[in-house]
Amino acid sequence: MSLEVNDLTIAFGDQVVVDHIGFEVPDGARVGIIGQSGSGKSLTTLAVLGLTPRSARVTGSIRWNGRELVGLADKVLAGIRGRTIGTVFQDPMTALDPVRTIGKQVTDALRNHYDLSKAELRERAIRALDQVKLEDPESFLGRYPHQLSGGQRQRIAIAQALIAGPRLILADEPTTALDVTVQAGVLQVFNELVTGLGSSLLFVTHDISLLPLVAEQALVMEAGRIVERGPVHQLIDRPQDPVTVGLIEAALATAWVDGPGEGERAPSGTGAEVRV
Amino acid sequence: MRRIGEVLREVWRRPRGAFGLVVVALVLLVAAVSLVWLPHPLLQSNPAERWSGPSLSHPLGQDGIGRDTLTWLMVGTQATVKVVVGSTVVAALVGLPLGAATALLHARVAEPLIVVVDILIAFPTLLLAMVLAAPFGGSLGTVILAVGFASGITISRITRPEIRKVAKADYLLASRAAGAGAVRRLVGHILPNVAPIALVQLSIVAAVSILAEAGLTYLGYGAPNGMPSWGRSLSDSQASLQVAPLAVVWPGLAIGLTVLALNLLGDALREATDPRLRRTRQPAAGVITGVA
Amino acid sequence: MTQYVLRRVALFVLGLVLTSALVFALLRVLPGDAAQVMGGVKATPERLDQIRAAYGLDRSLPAQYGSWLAGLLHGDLGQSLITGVPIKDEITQKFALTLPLAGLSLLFSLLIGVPLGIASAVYYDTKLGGFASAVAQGLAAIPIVWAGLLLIILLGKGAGLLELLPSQGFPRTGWSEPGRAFASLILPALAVGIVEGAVILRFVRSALLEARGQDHVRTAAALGLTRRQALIRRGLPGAGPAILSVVALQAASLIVGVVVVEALFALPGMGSMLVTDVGNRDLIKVQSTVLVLVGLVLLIGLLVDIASRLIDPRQRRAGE
Repeated sequence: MSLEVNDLTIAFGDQVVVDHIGFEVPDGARVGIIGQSGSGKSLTTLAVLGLTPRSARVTGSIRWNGRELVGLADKVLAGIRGRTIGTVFQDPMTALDPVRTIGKQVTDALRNHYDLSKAELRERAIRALDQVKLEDPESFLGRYPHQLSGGQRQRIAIAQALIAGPRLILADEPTTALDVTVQAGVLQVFNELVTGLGSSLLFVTHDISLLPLVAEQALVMEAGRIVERGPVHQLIDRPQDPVTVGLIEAALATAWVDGPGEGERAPSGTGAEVRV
Repeated sequence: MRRIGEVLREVWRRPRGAFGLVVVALVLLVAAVSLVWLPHPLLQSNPAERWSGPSLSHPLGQDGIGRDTLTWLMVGTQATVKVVVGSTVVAALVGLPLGAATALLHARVAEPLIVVVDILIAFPTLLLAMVLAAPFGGSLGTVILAVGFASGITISRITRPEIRKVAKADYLLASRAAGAGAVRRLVGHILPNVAPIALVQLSIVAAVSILAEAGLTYLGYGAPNGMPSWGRSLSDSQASLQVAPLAVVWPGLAIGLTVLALNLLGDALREATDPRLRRTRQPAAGVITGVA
Repeated sequence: MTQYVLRRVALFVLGLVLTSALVFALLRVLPGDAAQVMGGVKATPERLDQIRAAYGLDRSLPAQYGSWLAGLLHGDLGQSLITGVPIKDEITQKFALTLPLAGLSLLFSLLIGVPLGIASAVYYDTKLGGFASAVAQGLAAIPIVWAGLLLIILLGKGAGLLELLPSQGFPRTGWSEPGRAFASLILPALAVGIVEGAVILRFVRSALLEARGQDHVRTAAALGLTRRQALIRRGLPGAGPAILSVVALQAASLIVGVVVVEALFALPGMGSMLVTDVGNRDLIKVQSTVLVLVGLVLLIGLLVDIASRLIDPRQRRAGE
């Protein structure tokens, strides 16, 4: 099951935000999109889901498993979202529903797409929470997001997105809103789960230092265009485009400021390990 | 004052704002014209033609004692203008100082005041008017006082956070200058910053005051019998329900259109002055907004 | 939660006290000689003394206020100047009309405001949504008197085009003939409900349009709901407390609307009674009736505040 994007353009009125881009995520591959905020990378993932704002005009082609998604009815897209394509969003403080229990929302994708009994749902919820390494998973079922830490919430967001075993996972800056010290653990859990599922991954970030941990191929986006693409190690070792150079410098500056943060990240694995 | 011109231009660019401005201008124009010219003398009545329908000389027909409906509605516009101006002035005079007091005074004074405001805000305007009318009788003044006072309470609550924000930003600046200078500077800084919110609220007060005049006059606490006002015309038209249902339509239409215009003007003002709203109208690159 | 309820109830009581002080001040202190107001300009000095003695107006103002409050604590609202009937009895009797009327008005305004508000937000980018919001703008600008008169013209018996419903009065037999009694409340409640419903519609619409932009609503869609389902199933509950608090804010104008339509439709409820009392300058009765009505508004605010705490887990469990 592969994702093929061709000539994708997203515009608000005359303002073109994503400009004729094309790329492919082959079955089981892990692709990163890096770029600064406003480069169009997040809108690209929303376009795959069919969740761009109503005022956005999306043209071009997005084929998932051979099927054209652009222009597909929302009802049909909803049948894909959460089932074969799972999504982890950026901000765990706001991405979870404040008024529903964790037990309910973590199984949303299952309840939307499959007909499972209450007992089965409960059992799947506990297993999913256990897989994202939450201790005493059962105790989370009746709790609400505001009672949890940022790291716990993001683990739940991951469990929620992956519970139905999607073949493609979209991750939009899933660790950006977290503390550096928490980031490492969450990223590790995420990596293990994606590896376990054998799914494809499209990982969106502005932090190029995360790329070796999660992806083998990457695209660099700037102002709605793809300015450079290639294997991650090549992008980092021999950047061609000034934008890529800028992103590397930005990551180095952050690492310098964060100091120990870089060290904390190391145990989560080398690029080679991830590439399995 | 350049800012006011800018805001007006922003308002004018929006269809809702333009509609609001045009209707408000029209109401003012009719009120002014009615001072110098009327289709028929105000008190001329022809009982033989009571409840007659529209005709060339009486485009909106005649009322229960044969007076010209259009003439009475035109003169009634003056009462509307009086009520609107009076209510907004009272509301501003009550609301802004109260808002400033609850925002700036020491917490020991401000907090009880805030509780009082929160409670008084629930006091229905009409009951306040009735309480005022019980000893003093009904008049346009009753309407103005009741609407102005009740709306002033609301305005104080809405402007308080804004005043606090500005005052905090100016705190260092103000504390450097001593005494009266600091107070004057504070007022000079706060007023322009609170003006947009206050303006939006005052347009709502204007709309509310017109509705209140109609309701209170109907109950007998607004425009007294024989005084031309839209509320009076509406109340008097009840007598004609069976014979001339059309007579009910005109005053209601005048009130409804004007209130609608003021509400829309308020919306347009809000959009024109709230930078947050203005931004959402043209989504910037990469800004992710809603789902549905 | 218990602590919150206690604090909120204390605020409610404080509200009642403050209201009573305000009403007392406006009615008894401002006009100067209350006896003169009650007796009218033509009252003889003897008559004025009589009034003063009968209502304790010869005592100091704080003493008068104190005895009024003391009476209230015992459920004694005082006596009417005109009829001499205990005010409490009369109010209780009028409630039999006014409370059902207010309830029906609220029901109509919710039935109009909530579903149409949801529809106009969900279909906001279609012609239907635009039309709904335009209609709401228009209806919210209508004076209730006009809405009532137009309803009478359209549907009222005697005057109406369709002659469907009674448009004047309340059956003398009261609720012993429930059908007739209920029928006579429909048009007045509809007049209030349409205008208030339009206001609620606009609030529901804007609360939902705001929910549209919330991250967790987007998450819900990403997990397999359609955009519309996500908005209604996940966005609406979040907007619940906001909508509830609007209903509470509308309580005041609902009461006002009820007073107006009682007069308009000649219904002998609390509103009509109050209008008569104001005309008769029955100050003590006006004072007690207004306090009861404002108390009702405050009570609705109290209940709504507690209810919205209960439906919002963030606040319900704030102590944990």
